[in-house]
Amino acid sequence: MLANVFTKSLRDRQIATLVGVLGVISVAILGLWAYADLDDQIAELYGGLPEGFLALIGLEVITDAGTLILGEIANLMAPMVLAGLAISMGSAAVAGEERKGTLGILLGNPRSRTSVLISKAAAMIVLITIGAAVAGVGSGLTAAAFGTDSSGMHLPAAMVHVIAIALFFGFLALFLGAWTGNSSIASGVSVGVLLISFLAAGLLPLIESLADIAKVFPWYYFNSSGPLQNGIDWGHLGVLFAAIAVLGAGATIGIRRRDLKVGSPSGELVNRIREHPMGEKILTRLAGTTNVSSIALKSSTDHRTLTTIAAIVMLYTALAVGPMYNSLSDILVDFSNAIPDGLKAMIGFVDMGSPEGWYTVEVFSIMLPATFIAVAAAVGARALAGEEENRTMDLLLANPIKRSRVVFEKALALAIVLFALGFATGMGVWLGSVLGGLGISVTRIAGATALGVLLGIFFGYLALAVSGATGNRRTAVLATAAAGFIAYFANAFIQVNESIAGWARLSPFYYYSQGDPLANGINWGNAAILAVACVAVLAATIPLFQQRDIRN
Amino acid sequence: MDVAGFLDQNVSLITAGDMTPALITERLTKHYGETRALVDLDLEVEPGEVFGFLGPNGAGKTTMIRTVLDLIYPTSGTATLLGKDSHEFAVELRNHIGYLPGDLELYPTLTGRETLRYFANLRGGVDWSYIEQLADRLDSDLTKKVRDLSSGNKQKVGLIQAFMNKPDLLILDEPSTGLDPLVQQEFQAMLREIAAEGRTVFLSSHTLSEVERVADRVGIIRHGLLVVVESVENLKTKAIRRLDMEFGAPVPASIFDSIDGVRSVEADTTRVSVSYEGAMKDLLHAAMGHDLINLESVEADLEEIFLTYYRDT
Repeated sequence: MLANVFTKSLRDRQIATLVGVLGVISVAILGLWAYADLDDQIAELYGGLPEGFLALIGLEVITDAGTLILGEIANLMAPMVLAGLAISMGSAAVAGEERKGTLGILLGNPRSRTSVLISKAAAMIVLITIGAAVAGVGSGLTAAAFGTDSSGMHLPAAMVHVIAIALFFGFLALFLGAWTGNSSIASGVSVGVLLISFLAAGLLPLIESLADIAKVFPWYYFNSSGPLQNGIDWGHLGVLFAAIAVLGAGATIGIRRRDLKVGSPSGELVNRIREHPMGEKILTRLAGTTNVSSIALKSSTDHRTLTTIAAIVMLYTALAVGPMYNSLSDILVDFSNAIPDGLKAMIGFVDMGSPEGWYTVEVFSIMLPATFIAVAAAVGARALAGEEENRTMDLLLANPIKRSRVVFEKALALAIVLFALGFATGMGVWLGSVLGGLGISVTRIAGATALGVLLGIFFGYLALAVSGATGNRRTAVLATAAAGFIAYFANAFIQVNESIAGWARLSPFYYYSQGDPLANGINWGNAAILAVACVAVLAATIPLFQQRDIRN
Repeated sequence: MDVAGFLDQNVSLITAGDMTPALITERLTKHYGETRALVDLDLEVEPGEVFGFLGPNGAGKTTMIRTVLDLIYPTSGTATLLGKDSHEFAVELRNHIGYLPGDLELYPTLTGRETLRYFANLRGGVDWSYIEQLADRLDSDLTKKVRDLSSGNKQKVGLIQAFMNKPDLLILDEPSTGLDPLVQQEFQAMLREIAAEGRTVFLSSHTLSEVERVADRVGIIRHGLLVVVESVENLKTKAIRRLDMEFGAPVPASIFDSIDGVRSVEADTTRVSVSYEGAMKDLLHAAMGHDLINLESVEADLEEIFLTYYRDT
């Protein structure tokens, strides 16, 4: 094993691990704080829920707030965060270095491909183990501090299962990267398998005839045995670790058999598509001609591919959700009536039985904010830090323009992108409503979507601020993702407990979702608060960017 | 656009006969933590001159340029460009400055033409026919996307960008990178034309031959300190040269030893080789007293001079 490759791989991901683990612990703190003194209601509330709902978060019985929160941490959040991290390390290990063109230099040293691969895999194992240990200890201590009785729970056992499932997906990415040299395929396929496996292992066992099929999916071996409540299942762990060993051995064979690629900074997948005349034509059409008449127009058209894809996804999903309501409305009404008030708080007191409630849950509660914030964070982070990292900022600022103008124009570009996404989403909801004959008011669709646009712009400007203050795109994306994550959960958890519900006002999500805008119309006060918050973050960006040396 | 704005963009800050220095730095200092990238740099560049700024890699050339352009801020000291403070009047000054960064990067998805149009739009008042002329002279294909250009062809787009607003002060950081010899020749001709028009070129380079060909004066920077500012001619005069002499009969080396400026003498019966600095009058006078058959003066090697300044002493 190569000590320096090992330590560099650790160093490359230490911040991401720290942010991820802190995020998990923050959710534990927020959840336990919000659910404090609600033990009885929670037992009653979850006791009445269908089995499938609990199966998804891997819990059989929920008796109090501590069980619920630790269950969510051990069965959902920690494995998702750590598996994501492992996938990012696994896909970067071989394919990532090939994309950056650094693998050639690395292997120019008298070291074998196998030893490089083993060093990187070892770094992944160590970092995931440390991450799981810290998340487990942090959540356990938090639970103890809030007086949770965790005597019946096996948190260390659950964390061992977390390590196994995270490493499984990390090694899957490593394997795919080693055989294809393509980091996009390695991470994309691994994430896809992760999500499908999570849903399949949670839902298939509910259908008797399909229950056995769940055993094909790795997630089944992670938590179907309920490690948090029943301790380690050595049989299931054995299956996961055997699969990891097979993937590791397969990766070693893969990297030794293949011609290594030289770097291609714009992304291997894109280049491959370009090689084909039709692919080149489609990509060129999608990207269009960049408008160079101003910084704002150039920046917004630079993101045309990303914006178009996100807009199509939002439009299509929003459109498809409408007609679905008709076939599901009976079940939805029953389900909505069955949900106790406490749980309704978590989805913003939305009446799922109504068309507006259906749309709110399916489009506006998670999908819209997640998509808008992801796009806004990417655009905002690239706005300033991207120009610095690509070394074009010097040339831009050599023109007779103030730095503040660059910030304003980049902010304008971001707003244009978010408005385009908002328009596509709003159109999708409207068309879906028309197709399904749901009769949702156009004004209310516009109002709810406008709040989503403002929410996206707020997080985009946050990314812009961090990007301007640090000149580092990765920091900007990570900080915005962490802020979005915490703000979302803060709003969702805090509102459950009436005695502390006022604190939810600190989260921008509160102003986005409060009062169920799709059903009741936009609250202009909330819109104004979001708009003022956007302006405030933007105003803070200017001095942060102005007082700093431009990176070279 | 208001009148003041128009004047800012289109009226030169330099008028005929104006001898305001194009660039002045006073005790310009830049530290990065413990690293001293620039130390008390005092420099004055005259209008109408081509000033060569030389130094080994990491000496502080790029830091100095980025500091005077207000891209990074000095730890202490000031810079004045075209008679105006480089920080206070940064935006206004950029109307009159052309800049080519070292290790140039452009937007890969734009063509050369789109790139130039983008910067021309940001500047305002750029004459497109002049851009076409520059592209012709440098043999630059502006229709290709930047990502499909070789480093030399990308550099040409960068150079056109720096020249296109007919700047009073042209600041170029390693401009010849990747250019083939023919284009280099054309580029050097363009620099001389600019100087002839009374405009100024500040040229950072480590290509000594280029600087020797185009620069009037050079400054050499090492470890952030300006070690010398001299005209190229003076540098050569100050340099140690060699005189190889052949005599009809053996000559003792001692007759040259005591002459001012002589550094060393090597005598081999009738052949004598003398290394000296300064004027050769006394040396010739001493030689003429003997049966001098032939003499050859070996020109100072500029590269050797630079290397003496570059090397740690």
